[in-house]
Amino acid sequence: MSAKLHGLLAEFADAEQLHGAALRTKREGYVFIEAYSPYAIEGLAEALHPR
Amino acid sequence: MSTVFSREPQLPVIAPGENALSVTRSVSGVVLKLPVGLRWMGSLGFAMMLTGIFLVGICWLLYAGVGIWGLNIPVAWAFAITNYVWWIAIGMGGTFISAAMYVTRQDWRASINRLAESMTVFAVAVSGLFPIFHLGRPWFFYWLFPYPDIMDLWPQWRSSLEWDFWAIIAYLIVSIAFLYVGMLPDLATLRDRARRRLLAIFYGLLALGWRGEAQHWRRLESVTLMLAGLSVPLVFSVHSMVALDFSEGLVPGWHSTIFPPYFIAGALFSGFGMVLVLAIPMRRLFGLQAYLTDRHISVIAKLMLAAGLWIDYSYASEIFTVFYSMDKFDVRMEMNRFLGPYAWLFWSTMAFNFVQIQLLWFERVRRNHVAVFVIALGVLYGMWLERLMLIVTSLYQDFMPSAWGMFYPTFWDFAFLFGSVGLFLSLYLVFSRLMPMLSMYELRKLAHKRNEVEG
Repeated sequence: MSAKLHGLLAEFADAEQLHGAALRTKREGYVFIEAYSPYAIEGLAEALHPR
Repeated sequence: MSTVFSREPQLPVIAPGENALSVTRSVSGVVLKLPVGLRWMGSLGFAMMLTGIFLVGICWLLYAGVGIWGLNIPVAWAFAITNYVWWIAIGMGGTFISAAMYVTRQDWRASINRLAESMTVFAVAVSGLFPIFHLGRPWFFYWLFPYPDIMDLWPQWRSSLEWDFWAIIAYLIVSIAFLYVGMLPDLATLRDRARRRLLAIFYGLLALGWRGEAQHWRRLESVTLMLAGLSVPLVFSVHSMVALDFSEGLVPGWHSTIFPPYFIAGALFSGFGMVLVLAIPMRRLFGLQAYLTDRHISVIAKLMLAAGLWIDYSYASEIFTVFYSMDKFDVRMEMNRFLGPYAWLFWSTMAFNFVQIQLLWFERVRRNHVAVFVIALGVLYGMWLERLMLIVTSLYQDFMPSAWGMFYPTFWDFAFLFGSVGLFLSLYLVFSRLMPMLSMYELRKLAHKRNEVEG
């Protein structure tokens, strides 16, 4: 079994950290990223999928 | 001066120490964990019994016709239309709370909106039954719909019955959509937390594959905003139309342009009343005091008082206009309301819709939930009496004395009234055990915001 990397998952303690991480991954050029949250976080969708 | 305007310290909209996890646990616990209690079963049993009477009444009505009710010419509307207006008005108040408060970003609505929206859906559904049963030949009710038929049948667009049909349909569709879309994330939470596979499948199908992606939230927010934007004008347009059912009639006491705003005031008034009547027992029954706080009860009580003052102003304005016009039929109708055989209807309406609500000016009364509950029940009763008063006192003596006649309700009139209450309560009680009664995702956001402010 070759250990092929399919993706990475990370858990964040609060909304601000998640938002920050989303902005950072986007800035560093990652394309296939998604964030999941238990409630709507302002600016999160815009950070990940800017139009 | 400062003592006059000093504000009472604001009560919290969510109990301190609540966070996303505790919200999820206690709200989803009501659906997934809480054992079926004796009080809930007892309430449901009682509501089902009333629903049973309603069903018997409906069968008897379909067999024997509307003659089983006390209505006749000249009072041809009576209880059926009173019940219709009463129920649809209750729904309007619910929509106003959830939609208008959403558009204006009132954060306290987070815990009350689901309760108000579900109340709306059930109240409108129950209200829609009455115009149909009142038709005489209820099985032809679909003739109201302009479907392509071979009989050259086309709806009578000038008939208020037709307007009722569109009002109810439009309102029902939008309020169901609003309720359902708003529940999607919470249904997904129930799917994820359900222990039994069957329950997980049930909630999973309803949740439409909600995963909480950032994109999902963005879409949910824009859809909610659109539906709220649609609902707020609908509250006003639909109930204005209900009011025009009366205004277009030429009888004294109905033929008045004040009716649309007057009816909307009444709708909000009775809607807030019903929210209080449901919320006060619900929070105790399901232990949701941390979310449906004293602040909520107090704020809705204030809204009810405000709507009540608006309707009291409408009463005063209506009476003033009648005497200012010096129209002899209108004056006679008004004097009949004050002193005629149905004067008790008018004066009880005043007692419930004007006198007793003045107690709500006092903070001490608003914090006493038993008092607020009793006042809200009185408001519901008063608003029902008001519609009956409007209908009966205008119809029983119109222009020609030869056509005058009294109205006396029969057993079946009351069976339909209390039966419809039973149907509404049954639907509501079942819903409260199957679906999350409070919006978990909005409460999580609220709790997060609060904790941030407090540091």
